Amino acid sequence: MKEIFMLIVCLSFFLFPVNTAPAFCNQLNFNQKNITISAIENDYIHSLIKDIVRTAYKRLGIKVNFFELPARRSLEWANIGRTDADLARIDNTETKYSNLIKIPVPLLTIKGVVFTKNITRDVHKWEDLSGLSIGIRSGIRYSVIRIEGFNRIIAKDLFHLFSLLSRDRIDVAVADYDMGRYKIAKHFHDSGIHIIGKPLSSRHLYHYIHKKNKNISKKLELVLRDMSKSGEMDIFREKAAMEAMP
Amino acid sequence: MIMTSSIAKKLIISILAFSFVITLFITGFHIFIDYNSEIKRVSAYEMLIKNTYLDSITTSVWMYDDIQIKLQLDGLLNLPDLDYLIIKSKDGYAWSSGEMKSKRHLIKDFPLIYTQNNMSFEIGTLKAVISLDEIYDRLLNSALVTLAANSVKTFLMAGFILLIFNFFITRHLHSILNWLKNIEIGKSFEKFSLNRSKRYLKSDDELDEIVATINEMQDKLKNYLEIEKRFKRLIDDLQETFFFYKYDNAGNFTYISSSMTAVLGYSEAEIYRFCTGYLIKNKYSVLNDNNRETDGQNKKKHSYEIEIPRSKGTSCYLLITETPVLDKDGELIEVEGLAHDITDRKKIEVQLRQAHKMEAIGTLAGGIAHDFNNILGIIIGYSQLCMDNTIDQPETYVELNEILKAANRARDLVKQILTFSRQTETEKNPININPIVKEIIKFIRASLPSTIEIKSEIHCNNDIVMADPVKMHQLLMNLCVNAGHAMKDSGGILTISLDNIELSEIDITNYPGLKIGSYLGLTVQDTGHGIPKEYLERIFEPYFTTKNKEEGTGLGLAVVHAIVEEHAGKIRVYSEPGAGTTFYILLPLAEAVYGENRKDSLSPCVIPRGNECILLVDDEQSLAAIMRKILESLGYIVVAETNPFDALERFIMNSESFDLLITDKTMPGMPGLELIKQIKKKKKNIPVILTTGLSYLKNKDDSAKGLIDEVLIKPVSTEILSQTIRKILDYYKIRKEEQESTGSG
Repeated sequence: MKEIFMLIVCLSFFLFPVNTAPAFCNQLNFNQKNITISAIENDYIHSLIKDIVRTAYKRLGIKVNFFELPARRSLEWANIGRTDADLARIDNTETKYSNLIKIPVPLLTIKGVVFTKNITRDVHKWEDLSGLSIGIRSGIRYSVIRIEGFNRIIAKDLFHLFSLLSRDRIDVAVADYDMGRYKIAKHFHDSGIHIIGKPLSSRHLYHYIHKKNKNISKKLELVLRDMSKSGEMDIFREKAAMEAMP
Repeated sequence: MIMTSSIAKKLIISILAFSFVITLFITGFHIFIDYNSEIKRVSAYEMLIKNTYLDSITTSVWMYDDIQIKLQLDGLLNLPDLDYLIIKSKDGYAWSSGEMKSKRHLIKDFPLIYTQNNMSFEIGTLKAVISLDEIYDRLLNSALVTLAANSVKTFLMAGFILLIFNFFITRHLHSILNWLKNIEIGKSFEKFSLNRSKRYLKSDDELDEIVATINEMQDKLKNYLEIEKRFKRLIDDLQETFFFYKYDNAGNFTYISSSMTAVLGYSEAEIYRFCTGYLIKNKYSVLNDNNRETDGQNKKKHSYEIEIPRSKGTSCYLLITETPVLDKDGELIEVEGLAHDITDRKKIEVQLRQAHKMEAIGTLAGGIAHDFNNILGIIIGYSQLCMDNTIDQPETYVELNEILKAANRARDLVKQILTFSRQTETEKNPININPIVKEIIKFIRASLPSTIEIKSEIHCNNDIVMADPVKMHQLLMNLCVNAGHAMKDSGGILTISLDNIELSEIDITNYPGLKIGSYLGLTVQDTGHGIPKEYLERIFEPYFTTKNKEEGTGLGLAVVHAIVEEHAGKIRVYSEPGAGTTFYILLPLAEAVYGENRKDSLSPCVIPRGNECILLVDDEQSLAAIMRKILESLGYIVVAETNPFDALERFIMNSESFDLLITDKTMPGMPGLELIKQIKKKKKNIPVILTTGLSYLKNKDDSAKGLIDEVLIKPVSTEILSQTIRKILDYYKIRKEEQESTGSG
């Protein structure tokens, strides 16, 4: 009996994918029609996730507007409720930004790797960066946290970061592996910037909603989890990566 | 010297105060300008921040770029006076730089607005705290410097002005002040001038005008002092009888002239209380509404007479003239009074009334004396004739003698009346009074009882006075008879004394009317019953008597008083009831002894006879008859006429037969003098005796014209008549013989 019920649900899900969300929303008495999600401007990672999140909300019957902001502002505004959610952040963000509710479905995994132009040091951990001038991107919390006490320079964005590195203003730059590669490929492919060592960190990115939208958190989690399980997320990410690549 | 000057002090204080205020104002204005300038400068930061920093800071805040924000804030903090910067984001973050050190500051808020995709977001506020401490410090320093500089300048200017003011004004004011302080009113004035160099002055200035005005004022003052001196002299001259006083509308005296205290005899303290009692509380005072006569706004002077007592018990009369002084509303403010001592005038008025009374009596007496004397002349004449014829009939002789005595008393009475009323002739010559006194004593001793002792005390070296001996006789007789009457019952002592008295300036105050000089003091003193005090003031009044009708007529002392006054003397009486009375008479001593003119008292009684032919004219038939008989009894041939025209006709017909004309003065149809003139036309050198019942003072002109040789007052005693006729006829006889011998020679 149980299997039959599950089968019906799954079939229903697949057979009536478009119509389920509104019906679901109606069932949950969810009256939100539009939602604004802050996202990091010109951010490659976020661009990979946008379609995933948009689709998930769409399935809940909610139209999503992305509001691109600097990385921290995106988070701050989501926290203070000025936007309804932040597109994607690492784990434990809610401990500092207590107004945010994590949707515990990983949307993407970022790997913090070290880019350099001239440094040949074999880097396996953060301490290996000691003595170097380290560039990080503003608003990228994990890198900011880990290199506290180091000789660091915070760039306003990734282009800025790699510009500093390409002009030897910094020794190394810590950035996301995918995003770094994307940026180098796009703007600095002849600069000699390359990755050294192993990733210093590997962190999942989660969608965070403001607590005022708590009522949709569970539904959103269900939808996202379903998208993750179904491999739909990977499809969206690859599609986005392909579009972003120069 | 500069600072002791009140003007200098006021000037320097005024200059400093004014300069201080001006300095404060200018400094305040200066500070205000500086402050505005500083505020503008600070305000420029606002524009600088807005235009230069605000966008980048907004972007940094937008991106939460802490480092960049820190750098920007630190960079901004390098601006002057920027003390503290703080950025507060809307989401509760804050970035700050600097610290709030200043106590006074200006806070500027800059909203951080980020624009993206045509959308603006207010993401926070930049608050810039601009310190004003330094600005205020700078302003304070600037103010202090300005104040100090201006103060120094002000003090220097004030000092300079003070020196100039002192040089040009203050020292001269001191000179003027010292000079004015040293002015002594009454001393000679000197022209005042200032010690100042004219080289600074092109023309006269205010100080010159002051000096000129002072000198002009001096001249005026000098004139006023002269006027005041004259006025004072005038007041001093008047002060014996005029007093001035003032009192307010409540009756409080504000001024009483000092002479009033002297005259009334009260002390300075007493006089005010005294005057309040007598000058204000009396019914005539101008304070009494009934006495306020108004003439519109002006109140008229109000005069009245009042008798007020002196401190010594006597009283005086004052004529008060009070003038009300009114204010502009017509209300009485004070009263100015002028008091005139009219005591003497009052006495004179009494005397004048008395004189008028005497004059009336005199006129009356004079009117009847002529006829009365004619009657007495008849009585006396016939009595004497009868007595001559009845020497051998003693009883009849005695009775006729009584008639004669009564007629003589009547004659004396008429004489007293005429004397008192000044109807008798007074012929003053230098005479010795001492013989008259002795004669009177001798005469009176016989008539007074033996219980009365008579004493004479002659202490004088000079007893010669210009007097009529008959009247001196009369005077002494009257006084002695009165003394005798006062002592006739109890007896006593009658003392007659003569002294030489020198009256000084002080003495004559007790004898008004007398002059300084030598006097003969004649005192008649008795120890009789005295005169009651209430009678003392009236004893010299005519017909005032306390005696019986038989004893006195009331004319004795009045005649005495009249004789004394006539001889320019004074009489005083002192009497105490039971102790006696003293009459004290002062007569001026003759200035020289007229040896030849001095007349002795009466000559011994001799009746000379003659045989000449006498024309006797008297309108009174009886008198003419008796005189004819008397003259015929003396041996003369007498032609008596009662009508002057008949007498003249008879004389013209036989002028050479008559040796003497005796005619009455007052006759109907032709007065005696006219008859004499007519007769003299016929016979120029006929001697003439004029008889009259009234006093007739021989006219010098008459004498010069040779009209009258002698005047006889009727009734004429046989002795006087015979002596007078004989004297004249003998004189003419001698003169005729001399003329004849001269003519024959």
